[in-house]
Amino acid sequence: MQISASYLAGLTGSLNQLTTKEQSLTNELSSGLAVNALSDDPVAVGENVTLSAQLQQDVSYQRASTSVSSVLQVQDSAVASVISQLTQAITVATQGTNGTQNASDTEATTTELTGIRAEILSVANTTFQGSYLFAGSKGQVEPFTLSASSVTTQPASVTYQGDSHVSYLQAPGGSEIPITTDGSKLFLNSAAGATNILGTLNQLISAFQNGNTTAATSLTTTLNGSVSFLSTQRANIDDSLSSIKTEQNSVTSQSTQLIVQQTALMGADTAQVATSLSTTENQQTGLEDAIAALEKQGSLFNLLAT
Amino acid sequence: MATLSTSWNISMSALKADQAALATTANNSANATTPGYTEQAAIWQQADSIEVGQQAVGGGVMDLGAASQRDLVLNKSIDVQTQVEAATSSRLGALQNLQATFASATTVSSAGVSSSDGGISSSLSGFFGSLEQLEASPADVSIRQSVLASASTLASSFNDAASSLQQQQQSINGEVSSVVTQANGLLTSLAGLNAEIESQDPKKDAGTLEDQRQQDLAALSQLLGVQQTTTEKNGIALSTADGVPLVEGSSALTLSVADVNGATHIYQGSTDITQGVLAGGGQAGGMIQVANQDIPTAMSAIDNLAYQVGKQVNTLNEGGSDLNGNAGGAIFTLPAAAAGSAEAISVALTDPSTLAAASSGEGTADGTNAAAMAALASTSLGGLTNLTPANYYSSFTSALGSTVSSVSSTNTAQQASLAQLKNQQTALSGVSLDSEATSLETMEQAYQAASKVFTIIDTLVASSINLGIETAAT
Repeated sequence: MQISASYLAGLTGSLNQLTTKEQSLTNELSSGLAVNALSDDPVAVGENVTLSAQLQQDVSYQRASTSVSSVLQVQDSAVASVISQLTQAITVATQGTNGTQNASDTEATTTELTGIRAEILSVANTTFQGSYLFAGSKGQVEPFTLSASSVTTQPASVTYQGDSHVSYLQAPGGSEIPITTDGSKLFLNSAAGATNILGTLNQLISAFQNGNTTAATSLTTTLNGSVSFLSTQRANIDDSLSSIKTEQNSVTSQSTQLIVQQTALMGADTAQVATSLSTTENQQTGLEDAIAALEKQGSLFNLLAT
Repeated sequence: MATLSTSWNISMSALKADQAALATTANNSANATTPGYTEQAAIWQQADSIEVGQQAVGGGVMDLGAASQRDLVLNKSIDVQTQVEAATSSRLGALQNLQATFASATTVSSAGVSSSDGGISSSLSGFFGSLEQLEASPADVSIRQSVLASASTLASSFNDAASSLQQQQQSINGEVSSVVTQANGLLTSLAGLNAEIESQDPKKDAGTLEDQRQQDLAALSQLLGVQQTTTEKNGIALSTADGVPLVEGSSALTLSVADVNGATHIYQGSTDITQGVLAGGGQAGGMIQVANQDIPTAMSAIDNLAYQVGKQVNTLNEGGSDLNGNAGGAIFTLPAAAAGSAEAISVALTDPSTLAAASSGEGTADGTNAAAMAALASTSLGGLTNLTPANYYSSFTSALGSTVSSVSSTNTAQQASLAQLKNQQTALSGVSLDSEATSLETMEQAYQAASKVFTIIDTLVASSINLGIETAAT
């Protein structure tokens, strides 16, 4: 084969190709990523997009569930404080019905119970970040209002302005955690297994105001049922909290898994890249030597007698 | 019987031929690195012998001039291969720009941190993520604000990608115009060379003129895919791959570029030769493929994604209740159809309270509608070939990457084959200084031998004139 001037130019082209390959390998080493352009590994790029979307979904769920669990914690402590207020009310009412009370004692009992009712009402109207916690979906509306009875012999009444709508936070795993709470089911529920807590308190206060200790005794017993009903409700909230925790843990481990997958997919195998780099360098040195030798050798003209 | 003067003539013809061969060698050496130069060889022929007294005596050597060492078939194969290679090479270059627009798809998230790199994929998941936050805290105005912000990021991601694609398309169209201008110059030059070559001896290689024509053809092959047909008198007729004439004899036809509905078209006169150029290759063919096919395909994919996601989100928001209890409006402003959506998409809402996080008629603490919008992230949409938005984008980037990768491998193979052909051409037509040195040395020897013969005959003639008496050398 004849070596001409343009043959050397062709070798220089090969040298450029090797330099480009070295650059890309060096780039892989410095970024730690084997895939730096879509064409490097189209399938891996496609999977990477899906994995990144899943990861982002996990991150969003972590954030959303964290804010939901703050709401649930506030609800939990609100219910806990209602339970302790009710226990207090039971103690006060039991004392008020023990038969040794004079008129001023009864009045003090009434005042104390009225105070407790105000406390419970205020807890039932708790807001968190500007939204009422026990109003169903109507977060901007104060759910419970007390209207004093116009007739002194009649108990006061509490009305609910919220609604019964419950919305849920959906976990990537598909489980649902209730975010909104229907307050009427907690505090004004007279269905079987529940007690209309605020209604019972109103009747109790009215019973003391009217000096009806028989009714007061029976209503105090009803309040005992309320405490156990609320405790059950509180356990439900705690269940939600713990299932968020569980879901968060599983999402965290899923994220870790996804990141590992992503790294395996896109990451550069350092040892392999380093080996390729060294091979390419050897190739380049060899080619450079060959070009240098051809240049140095020149042509027969160098050897012609002058 | 041969005479001394016969020998004299023979050695004189040798001296002449040697000189001509030396001139050829000198010319070869001088043009060793001249682009397009084809190595020439001195062509000698034995002169007819002379019958002298029934004896044949050699008539010396005849110099028939220098002939270029050319293989027209090989040159034509190189031109064809150049056209094919130039097409994939220019397409590859443009596709690499195209895929760089979507390079954020290769971004790897670091642990627990959502990456926001301005790419469509991270903006999409960022937008759906913010809707999930809204689902958890529907009344939180700062979260509503962040939903609008991420909607705006998503819209700009689409806008940026669309404008980048448009710029690439415009710049390619500009390049096509410049390629066509250069090609017109070469076509004119080739027609002129045809005329000159046709005026020469049709049985001989036209030498330098042929070199120039080969070089113009090689340059034209880089630019445009053409078909060569050899005509009578060594002319070359050129036409597009589908037979539209470009050069006929000594006349060249002029090409022009026009924009037809946003696509670049090439015309010869009033004939649209775009398909022929596309099929023929060359830089023009490769660039037209990117400008008229690859970029529009990518554009239509992101248009469709922007349109479908925007439309679904709009429909849901319109069906829900906002913070003031009113029905929500469209979040995104979109064109009536998918085409142009990526370029046109923008956020229509300015007031965060008008995001309809609640189901219709529900209160402000309800996030059901926000949940439904967030759930679009994992919903297979009919308009997105039954894929989720992320999967649709994933399959788009994957397909684009595969195209680039396959064009790249094709180009590598074509380069190798072109290099092989060029090596063959170099071996045949290139100037080897070694062989020039050898011919120089050979010719020198031959010239010395011929002049020696000449001198001896001179002496012999002198001695025959002096009847055998040697004259003293002066």
